[in-house]
Order: sequence, then structure tokens, then C-alpha cells
Amino acid sequence: MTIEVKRPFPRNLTARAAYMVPGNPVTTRPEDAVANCYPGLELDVRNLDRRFFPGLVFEFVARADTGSPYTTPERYGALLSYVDIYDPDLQLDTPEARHLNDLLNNASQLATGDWYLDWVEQAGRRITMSWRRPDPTREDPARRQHERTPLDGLFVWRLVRSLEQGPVKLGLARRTPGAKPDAKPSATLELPGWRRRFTDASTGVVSAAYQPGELLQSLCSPWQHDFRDCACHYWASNHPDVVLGEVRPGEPTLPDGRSTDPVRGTLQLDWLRADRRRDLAGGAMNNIVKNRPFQFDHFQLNHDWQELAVVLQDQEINSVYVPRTADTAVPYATPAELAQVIRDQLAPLEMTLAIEYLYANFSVRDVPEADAARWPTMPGDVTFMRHQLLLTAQSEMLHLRWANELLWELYDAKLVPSYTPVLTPALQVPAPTPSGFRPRALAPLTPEAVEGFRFIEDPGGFIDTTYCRVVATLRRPEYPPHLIDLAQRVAADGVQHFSRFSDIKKTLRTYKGVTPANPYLRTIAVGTPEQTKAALDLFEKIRARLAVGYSLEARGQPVASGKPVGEARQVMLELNEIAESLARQGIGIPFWPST
Amino acid sequence: MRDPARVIRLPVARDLAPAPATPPGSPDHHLFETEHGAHLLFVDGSRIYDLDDELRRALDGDPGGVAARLAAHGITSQHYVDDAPLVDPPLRALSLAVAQKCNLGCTYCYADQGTFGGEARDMSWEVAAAAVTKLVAGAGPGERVNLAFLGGEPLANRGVLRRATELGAALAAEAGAKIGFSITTNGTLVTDDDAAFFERHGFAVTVSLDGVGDVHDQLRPFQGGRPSYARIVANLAPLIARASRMQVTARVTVTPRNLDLPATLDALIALGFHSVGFAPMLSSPTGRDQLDDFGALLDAMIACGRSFESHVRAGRRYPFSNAMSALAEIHRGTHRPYPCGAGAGYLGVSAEGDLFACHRFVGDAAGALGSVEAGVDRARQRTWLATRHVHTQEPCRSCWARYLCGGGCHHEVLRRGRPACDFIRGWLDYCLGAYVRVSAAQPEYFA
Repeated sequence: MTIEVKRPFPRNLTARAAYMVPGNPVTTRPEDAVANCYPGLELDVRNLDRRFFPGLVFEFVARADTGSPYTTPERYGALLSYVDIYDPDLQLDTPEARHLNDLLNNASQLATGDWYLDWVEQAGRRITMSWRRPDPTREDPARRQHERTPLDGLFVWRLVRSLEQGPVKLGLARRTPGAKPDAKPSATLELPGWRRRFTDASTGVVSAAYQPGELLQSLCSPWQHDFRDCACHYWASNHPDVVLGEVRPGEPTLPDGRSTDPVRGTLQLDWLRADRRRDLAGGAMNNIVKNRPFQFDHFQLNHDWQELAVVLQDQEINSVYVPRTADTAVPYATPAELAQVIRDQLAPLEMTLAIEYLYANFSVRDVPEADAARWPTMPGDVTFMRHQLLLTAQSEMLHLRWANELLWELYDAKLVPSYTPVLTPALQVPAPTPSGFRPRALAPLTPEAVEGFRFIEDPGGFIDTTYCRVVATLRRPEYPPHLIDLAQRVAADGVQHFSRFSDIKKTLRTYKGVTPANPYLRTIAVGTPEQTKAALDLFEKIRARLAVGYSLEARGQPVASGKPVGEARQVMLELNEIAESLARQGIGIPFWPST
Repeated sequence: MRDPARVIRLPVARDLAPAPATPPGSPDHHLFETEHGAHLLFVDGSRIYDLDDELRRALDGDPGGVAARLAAHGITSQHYVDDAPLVDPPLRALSLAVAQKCNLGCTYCYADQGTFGGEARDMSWEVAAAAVTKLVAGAGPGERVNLAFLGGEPLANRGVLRRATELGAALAAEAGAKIGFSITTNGTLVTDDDAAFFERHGFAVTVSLDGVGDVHDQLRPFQGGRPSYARIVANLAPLIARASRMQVTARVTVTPRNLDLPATLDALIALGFHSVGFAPMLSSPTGRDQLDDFGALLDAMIACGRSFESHVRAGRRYPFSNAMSALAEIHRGTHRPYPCGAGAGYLGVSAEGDLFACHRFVGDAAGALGSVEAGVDRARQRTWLATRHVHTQEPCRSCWARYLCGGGCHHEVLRRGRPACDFIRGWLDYCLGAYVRVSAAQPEYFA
């Protein structure tokens, strides 16, 4: 079998190490995983420390949690589980290792009774694994303390954890069963050694003292249950909430890998759903509580965790992943050129599109205006279309902000000399014309308009390819790395917009060739500035408040920018109401002078 | 940690030199071809890529846009090597000039027959002991240091050599550290008992041999002119026979009078050496036997390289050390700001106990870096490391080979400049191609 190798092919080790694999983001790498200390999410850290001293294996015996009463302190502490004379550290060819090996091979007393870690000593300082516990039952205040009480195993573990790599001396003590916590040990043993180096200094490989699975033991069920239950976003990097369903090999896909089936390509499923049958999959609901009854329960999670799908780029996958062609866009040569493209082309275009989509949204009848008698599906159709249009317009407004954000971040990184908010719509938009563009237009949602919108958002079209170049530029080392995400999200959203307009196109098939044409549309025409003064005033106010907010962001005052941006958002709601009311009267808002 | 023998043996191509064949080209990348197509060395990080024809043509047609086109494929500069010089590196290797005298009269000797231009003398036991103690004292448990014996002819002071070795081994065992030993010898004084001693301590033994028979004898006669080859070969037999822990390698100094390298290589490998390497004579104190025809040298080296390739592809061992180290470093993507550890983790000790940047700088004020007694002169060392960084070297800073070469042997550069850059680039260009061919045909060679 011949394997077609993609080029440029990284041949030597440094080239391979630098290869950026297309696929999941860097936050899914193990080194970026969320990891707290106890018990630890990727491994139970206590399992490292149980072998902190060569040849000895401890178990940390503790209360259920630190709030529990101190009921059986004679059991608490670091209990010597067994002596591991095969420990690789003991086989080292050093005087210390030979000495310790001899001591342990001859310490037959350790085989009898319960031995606990009594103290550790490093760099001349000794820590004893016991404390004087208050005893309120004693009458004499001066004697209201136990003589000597073993520390809870969790505290012992934390003290052991604090040892540095290097020489350590420790004392073991045998406790007599049934004796009081402060009873004298029946035997003691002192051992000179060292705190283990847990990983190889040059390779980072975990010490061979640990058996396969040892570092993960004791995670099991709590780990899996926490994986299901944790609601504080601890699992954000490796626990998706909602995903798109699998596209099986051979099924048609959009350029971004999603299914061409509009339901399958857009329906967000609960990743933890208990019913894994594909044809019965229903969309995820919008919060954890609502989804819970339909998710894996604890028992099922213990048994069927392997049924949870691998997710790549938001999509479940059960077959071998084939990377898509890598991004081959050509970066812009300089920050100035990049900024110019964003400032003069992309940002104005986002604003024009937001307005064109909004205008189209208001051109569609609202449910009460739908002729349900003649067109039974029209109420549903117009609801769907208006919803999709509004979402897309909002998304374009978000892109307008991100485009501005890219500009002010370039300014902040001192890559461009100045930043001025870009809040002026572009004069033209991409279109299948000889020039590649058409004049901007305030037009109702006719099938031709939908076709035009699809063209604009087409993956591989002007906007998509331009953002791909922006992304390729931002990957270069001189740019702040966090900007790549912004640009990538804009590029990815474009594909979603394309899907939405494709769905709208399908919806409109019902009304193809009927008379009068396009019955789902209001009779609407662009109004005069006088008719729409209130709306235009609000529109100007939105632009002015956003300009203030963006300028504050650029000056490094993101908190202060919240107020004007919030006000702009409030005004948008007012504008929405007025626009809706004008549209019902057949009046469209002249967002820009007619050409 | 670098192998001491490698530090001292002047590895691979980077010390070598000439032939106006391979111009400096772009400072950021170097294109080369093999029967597998077009390839690119991306200088930052010494990364190697196979290109397709389309990209190759695009790069050729747009010299100014190469960086942008490569960036579009995710190949961007990460500044693997920055301008910051190494600061106060720990001492990891010492070479002791135990005998600053020699019984041979090599025509080109950098050490003036071992004396470094001064009087013939031996290193005292006190100096050797202090140096060894200092070396091992800097090594923590598990760390590795290297002790090398050079001269002159180090076996001319056998007693100090052996005591220093035994002291080093004992101190290292006490500290839980590892110590490696190496010696560069002319082979005339090696006894069977020496062989046993070297084997016991796992020495890396480098024997200087400049060819077979007369060729060698013309360049490396005894003082007085008698031939030395027959004696050396007779001494070598027990040495090679005992080699188990010990490795016995041959080092050939290449002059205009022994340029038939393929024949020399075959003959020395046949003698049973663990490996055989060549180092060109770039600067001799007298100017005698210095190389000038670097084109002929390059041709001879490439002929050896081709022979190496055919053996490797047939699965046979052929220990041509210049090619082996070059391919290993290219595979790893070595990118170094310095040519070797000289003046950094590796220092040379003179018979008087002064410290120098390496064994070749002994007695040379330009490379003086303190003394065993007073310790490393950190101020001088910082200056050395700052001024020797390849980014400060011309024309290195704009040469595509800079991170593979490191700027060339400090000693030769300071003595004679850089007459051999075209040779180095030519050799590296060949080795890059050889790497692609070997890694395509025998990927397990690099396992």
C-alpha cells in the first residue's frame, strides 16, 4: 500500500516537534489539563508520595475528610504497607543505596506489627508526625492536651510532600494494637536515605519503582463521578458539554467537516446522553439540570465510559481521523498591511452584513401576520427564518467587535501606531459579479437575496479566505498568540452562517413560483429619514456609544468600556422594537443613503 | 553532557573547510535536492522538510516571499537560538596536558611537539590531583563528568595519568557521580599493561594516525626522523583486542600530503578501530602542511561519505565518524550557538595548572580562563562566551550553516580566520542529502 505523504513533510526530529497538528486546540493537551493537587485529576498525587523513600511503600490513613471527628487517631498517619526490596533506587551503585539496601534486607522486624512513619529529617530539621491535640474533657487547663496524638494521614502526606529531593532520614515506629494514641511505640527504626527523584532528570519518565496503573489507582470511581457531576467547569478542557453528531465515513459534508444534513450538521447533542442511538438523538437542553435525566448515571458511567465519543472540532468521531488540508493561506507581510485589511475591508464589511441581515429580518412577516389558512407551515417557517436571520446579524455584530478588538490589540502590542474605532459600513459586499462585489443593499429576504447571502458566507469566498490569511498572519511569532482564536472563530462562524442561509433556502422552497410571489414577506420599502428619524437617532447613538467603549478598550480600560458598550446594547433593544413597528407599517430603516 | 572524546576530537564537519561551491545563500533557509525530491533546511531549529514541486517552484520564483510561504504551512521562526550568551556554565570536562612534551616530530603540530612553544615539562601530581578534585567536586549524584588526557604525548607521564584516573574514579564513586576518561595518544608508548588499565576504566582512546605506512611516517615521524607507523601498529593490536568497555578510535589529521581519504578510511577500519575520523589541518604554527585546496578535501570527504552510505544502506557497519556524527546531529536537529564546549563546560589544564579554553589554547593568553587553584575566571569566561557566540561572528551570522557549524573551531578561527567555510557548507550540504537518503532507505538507522 502506498501512503500519500502530505508535504511539506517534517523529516528530522526538530521539524517533527514543531509540527502543528491540525485538530483540537492546544488546551486539550495533557500539559494544559486542569489538575488540582488532591486527589488530583490526572493522577492521585498521594500515589507518588507513598514511595517517597526508596524501598518503603506507605499508605496514608486519614479521616473521611478534614471535618470528620478524630475518632481513631491510633490508626492515622503514614502506615508502612510493605518493604519493596526490588525498588530500582536501591539497586543504584552508590554507597547510600548499598547501605540502605543492606538495612532494609536485614530489617526483618518490619514484617511484624503496624509500622508508621514517626518523623522525617532533612537539612538538620526534624518534623514529627504527631501533635498535641486539645482535650476539653480534662479539668486542669494546663493539661488539656493529649500527650502525643498521631497526625491525620492527610497532614502527614502534606508534610512528606514538602520534602525536597535529596538526603532524608526517617524514623519508623511500631504501634501496639489497642494501645492509646499517646502510648510509647513498641519498637523504632531509623533509616538514612533520600527522597526519591520521581521522574528521570533527563527524560522526564516516571521512576520505574511505580507499577503500571499505580499512579492512577484510587482515582477510579470518584474520578468518573466527578467527571459527570462537577459543575464548576473543572473539566472544561476535556469534557465537552454539547457536540455535533458523528458524520460517518462516506456521508456528504460541508467544507468544515459538518454534515450537509441541516439537522445533523447543526443539532447540538448532549455529549453525556444516555441513549446513544443516532436516529433518536434529540438536541441538548440549555442547562445541566434539564439535561441530567437523560445523561449517563453514575453506574452507567462506571461501566460505559468508553461509549463516550471522542470529539474533534466539536464533532463526535468514531473512525480514524483524517486531518483536513492544512491552512495554506498566505500571511500578510506586515502588521500595517494586516491592520489595513481589517480596518478597510473586514470590519466595515461585518457592519454592512449585520445591517443587511437585520433589514432582511424585518422584511419577513411575524407570526400573527402569517397566512396560516393558506400556508399551514408559514408561522413555523417565518419564526425559523427570523430567528436564523437575527442570530446571524448578531453574530456579524460580534464579528465587528472582534475586528475592532484585533485592531486595538495590534495597537496594544505596539505593532501599529494608532487605533480608531471602525463603525462605518462598507460600500460594497462580495457578489458573483465580474468585479467580485455589488453595492450594499437594503433588500427584503427574497430567494435572490438568500442566494446572495450564501455567496457572501461561502467557505472559500472572499470573507473566509481573507480571515484565513489573517489567521495565517497571526500565527507568526511577532503577534500576540491569543489573537489567533478570535480570527479563527470569525472564520468558523462563516461556515455556520452559510449553513443557516442554506437552511433558509430550503425553507423557501415551499413558496417557489407561487402568486403573489414571496407571500412570507411584508410589503416593505426603504423609508425616508423623516419617517424613521427616531430609529436613525438610535442607530447613531449605538455607533457613538460603541466608539467610546472601543476607544476605552484600546486605552487599556476594559472595565470602563463596559458601561458605554452596555448602553449601546440597551439601545439596540429599543431600536429593535422601533424597527419592528416601522416594518409592520411597511417602512424599512434607511441605514445608509440610497445609491 | 557531551562525550569528552567528541569535544576533543573536533567533531564532524564544523571544523573542516573550502571550495567555492556552496554560497552562504539565505540566512534563514537552505534548499537542497536528492533523488527523493526537493528539501529545505529551515535554519531556525535546524528543521528539515521534504517539499513538493509546487512549493519548491513557488519558493524559487519568489525569493522575497519564502518566509511568508513557509509560514502559511506553519513553518515559522521560533528563535530557538537567541542572542544571550551562556553564563557561568558548570564545569563538566577537563583535559590535562599531563606531558607537555612528545617523542614524535609531527610537521604541523599545534603544540610545537608538545611544548606549546615553551619548555618541555610534565604536569606535577599536585596539579593533576587538584584539577581532578575540582572537576568531580562540581558533579552531583548521577551527573557525569569527563576527564581527558592530552599533551604532548600523555603517556610520557604515565604515572600521573594513572594516579589521576584512579583518583577521579574514587572521588566520583564517593559522590555518586559518573566519570568518563579519554586519552589522545600517538600510540608509540602504549603497552599491554596500559591497554588493560584503559579497559578497566572504560577509556575512549583516540590514536592519531595519518594514513598507512609511508604516508603516516612522512607526517608523523619520531623526533629525529625515524618512521613511527610500524611501532604504533604493533602496539595497537593488544589495545584493539582488549577493547570492550574501552573504545579505540583513529583520528587522521588531513594535510595536502595525505588526501587519499577513502583508501585511508578503508585501511584503518580494517585495522579494527571503533571509528575513524578526519580533521583537516587548518593552521599549523609553522604553516607547514596546512591545507589550502579545500575542493580536493571536499571531494575526498564526499567519496568517503558515499562509501559510508552504501554500507549503511546494505545494513553494514562502516564507522566513518564524521558522517556518523553529522547524520546524528542533523537527525536530532542540533542547533548550537557555539561550535563546541570549549571555554564553557570544557576547559584545558596546562602542566602548571592554568586553565585555558581547551587543550589547543594551552599557554595561549587569548584562551586563558583562570587556574585550577583560583578557579575559573568567570569574568574572562563571560567575555569569552559573549564574544564567541555565533550571532557575533562574521560572516557566520548570515550563513545558513551557522547552527550546525557553530562558527568553527575557536582556535583555528583565531589563528587563521575562516578559510574553509565553503568546504564546511559543501560538506554539510552533502550530509543533509545523505541524511535524507539514509533516513528514507534505513529509517531504523536513527532508532
